[in-house]
Amino acid sequence: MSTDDEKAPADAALMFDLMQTQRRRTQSRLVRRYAWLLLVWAAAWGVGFTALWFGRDIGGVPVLPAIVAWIVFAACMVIAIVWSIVTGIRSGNSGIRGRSVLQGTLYGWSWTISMVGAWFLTVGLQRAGLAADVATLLYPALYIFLVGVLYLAGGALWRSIAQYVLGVVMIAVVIVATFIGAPWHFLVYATLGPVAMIVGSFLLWRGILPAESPEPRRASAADAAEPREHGEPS
Amino acid sequence: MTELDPVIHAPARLRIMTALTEALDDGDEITFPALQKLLDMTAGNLTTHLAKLEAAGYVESTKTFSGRRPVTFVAITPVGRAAFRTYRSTLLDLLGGTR
Repeated sequence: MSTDDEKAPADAALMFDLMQTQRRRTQSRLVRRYAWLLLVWAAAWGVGFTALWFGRDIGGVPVLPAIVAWIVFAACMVIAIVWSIVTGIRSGNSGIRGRSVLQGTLYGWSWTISMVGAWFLTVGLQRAGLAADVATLLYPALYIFLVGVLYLAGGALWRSIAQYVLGVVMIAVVIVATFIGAPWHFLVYATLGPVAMIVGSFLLWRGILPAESPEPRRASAADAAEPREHGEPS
Repeated sequence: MTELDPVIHAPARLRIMTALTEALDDGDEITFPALQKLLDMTAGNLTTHLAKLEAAGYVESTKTFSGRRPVTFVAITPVGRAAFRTYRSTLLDLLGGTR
C-alpha cells in the first residue's frame, strides 16, 4: 500500500471505482429475478391488452373474435401471476437470513393480500350490480392502481427512487386510461404500461443504488465514521 | 488520517466489505455460497480474505446445520461497518471531493 502523494490519488480512484462497481453489481444480483419479473409483466400487458384492443365488441379495432381476445388476455395474466408466485417463493432462498427477511416477507404478502382482496372487491361490486361499461374501466384500473401503490411502498421501504417513480407512473397511466375511457383505455394499458415496466426492469438490471441522505462534508476527524455518500444517479 | 485501512485496502477485501454492506441490513447474515455468487470469487480466495477480515473483527461467521448439511453464515459487524465508512470517507478525501 502506498500513500505516496503521486500514487495515492490514482490508487484511490481505482479502489473507488472498484467499490462502486461492486455496489451496483450486488444490487443488480439481488434484484435480478425482479427485473425478469417486470419484463414478463411488460410482455403480458403488451400482448394481453393488445389482444383486447383488437377484440370484437371489446377494443377499438375489431379483428379478433371476442372469445379469442379474452383467452389470450387471460393466458397472459395467468402466466405472469404464476411467474410472480414462483419468484416470491424463490426469493425466500436468497441465502440471506436475519432482520430484513421479515420486511421482505411482509412486503411480499402485501402483494398477495392486495391482489386477492381486489378480486373479492370486484366480485362484491358485481353482485351489487356493477354496470358492464364501468366494470371494463374499473377492473384493470383497480389492479394497476394497487400495483402503483405497492411500488410506492417498496420504493419507500428500500429507499429506491426508481421504484417509487415507477409507482407514480403506474398511477398516472391508470388515471390517463380511465379518463380517456373505453375502449381506448386498453390501448393505453397495452403501450404505456409495458414501456414503463421495461424502463424499470432495465434500471434494476443495471443495479440501482439506494438513495442516500446527503451529509454535510465532515469538518473533523471525529466525524470520519459517519456515513457520507455522494449523490449518484440511480 | 489519510491512511487507508490496510485490512480493507486490497481489491478482494474491499469487494467483500462492499458486498456485505450493500446486501445486509443490521442483524442480517448471508450464506457462504450466496456471498460467493455475489462476488464471483473462488471458495478458497473468499475463505482466505474472510479470515483476514474476521481477524480484524470486521466480519463474523457462524457455522450451523441445514438438515445434515453444514452451512456457514457470514455477517458484517458494527465495527466492520464503521471501518468501511471510514475507509470510504478517507478514499473520498484522497480524491479531493471530485466524486
